[in-house]
Amino acid sequence: MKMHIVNFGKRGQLKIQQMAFMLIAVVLFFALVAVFLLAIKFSSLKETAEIFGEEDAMLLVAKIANSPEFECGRAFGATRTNCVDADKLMVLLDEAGDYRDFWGIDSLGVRKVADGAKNECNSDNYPECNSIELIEGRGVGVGNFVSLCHKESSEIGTYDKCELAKIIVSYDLK
Amino acid sequence: MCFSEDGCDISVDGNNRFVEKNETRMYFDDDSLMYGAIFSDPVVYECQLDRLMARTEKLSQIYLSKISLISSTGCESDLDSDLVYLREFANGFDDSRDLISAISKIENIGNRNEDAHCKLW
Repeated sequence: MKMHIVNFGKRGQLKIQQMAFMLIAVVLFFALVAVFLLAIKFSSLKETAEIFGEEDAMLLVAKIANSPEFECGRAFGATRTNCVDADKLMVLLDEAGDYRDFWGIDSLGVRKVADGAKNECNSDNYPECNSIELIEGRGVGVGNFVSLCHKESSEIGTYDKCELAKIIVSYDLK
Repeated sequence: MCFSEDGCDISVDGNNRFVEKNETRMYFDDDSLMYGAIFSDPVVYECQLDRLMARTEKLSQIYLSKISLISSTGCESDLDSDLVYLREFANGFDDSRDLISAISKIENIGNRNEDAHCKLW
């Protein structure tokens, strides 16, 4: 068998070596650029996911405030949006855990805005309290202002008392 | 799909309020449930009604407890026996055949609450 051996000169070999190094450098450069762009892309994706999660939670807060388990309906006069019945919340205190999966939230609470230090409501101190913790948990909290209404008694009879409050929902950041 | 004749894949009987599909009858009360019955699978439709009734049962219990809570403020409601009945009815809800009677009970309680001096909702 006859073999053809090509004999490049030393100069030719150097040129080939230069070319090989150049090609490796170009490939490395583009690989680094790709890694850099991917890092930027993924960081913005995470940011977008966080924004979407927060928007979802805000919508969920409004949805929960206007759900039959929370809303005032016409119990305190005309129907209003974002009106929460505190009497229902007190009833729900022991059973709210059942709703954790139903609403897909981590924690849920309502706190009056005007009052000072936190005074958690229970069957003994209600309505002389300012915070109703329905579901206790951790996570990123999102809140919205609502009217918190309940029936109150006085010498002249029963009347409706509504106060400004904030409903706070926290969700698990995935 | 037919609204007044037989022999279609899906038949809607507006007078007797049911949708017949795959030889299964799904009862409805209003347009929203009618469309649900038309477009969903019978098993899924019945399952969603079960979920609605489970929530009805829960809400009946919430309002019953609310009656006890607000009675101390002088706000009395006489809906307790109706709510107990509704709670038990919702608990024993079998399938959509019970829907018409459930709706009539719920509407009756709704009207009584509307006329009450101290409304629960």
